[in-house]
Amino acid sequence: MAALKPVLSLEMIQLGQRAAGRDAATDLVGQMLVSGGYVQPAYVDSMKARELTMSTYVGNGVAIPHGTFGDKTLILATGIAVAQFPDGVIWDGTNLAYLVVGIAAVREEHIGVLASLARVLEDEAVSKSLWTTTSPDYVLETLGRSWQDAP
Amino acid sequence: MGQVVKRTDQVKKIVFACEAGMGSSLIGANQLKRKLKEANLSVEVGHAAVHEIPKDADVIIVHTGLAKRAQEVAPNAVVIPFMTFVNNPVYDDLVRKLKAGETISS
Repeated sequence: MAALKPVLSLEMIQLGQRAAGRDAATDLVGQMLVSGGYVQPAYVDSMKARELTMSTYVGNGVAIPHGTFGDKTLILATGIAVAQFPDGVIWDGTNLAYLVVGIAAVREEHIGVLASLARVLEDEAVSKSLWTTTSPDYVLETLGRSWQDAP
Repeated sequence: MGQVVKRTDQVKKIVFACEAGMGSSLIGANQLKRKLKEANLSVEVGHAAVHEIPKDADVIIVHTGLAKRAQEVAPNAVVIPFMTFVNNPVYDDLVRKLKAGETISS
């Protein structure tokens, strides 16, 4: 089938973005997943709907929008899209998201990246460095590169 | 809820559950794993979609809105609901109880 596809790559990291609100920010990472060939376009609506039932804000300026269980069929390959909003986006209530990590996961190939993200979240300084960095390489190094069908 | 009670020595497997099992539960499971490790507690921690919670889960940590569903899927597990990932007090409370050998209940 498809060649080995990275779960996270430089092409899937966009820094210095602006968005009017949560839906616009979700659209941005959602469209990145669409363009990257990871999801069908309808998955983006699923991501937005998911936020209405429970916010995916996970702390320290990071949100991890993703679709619902029922819409996993819209995922073509496991992938992660990262968008940085240095001015912040109001995510829920008073929580501002500076780093929005869109997730589409079929199986468990993204565990490595999310484990790195969990570690980042526990460190305020590292989290904040991701809010403002202008280096996509730094983001990739910090969150890690895992691969589809990795052993 | 409130009827399932477990002793510390009965807690072998903790499952962090979320709706889709692809994002939030993984972050939560990782945070909890680290706290357990720091406390020198060896308990298996997994993550799952709420529809797919394994039957052998002893404790399930899940967002309040999914707690009822989680208890239906795993009637014999202690379900611990939480409201927010931010400064989630559930981890520290659970780790403290496990460490102290206290009972854990839904």
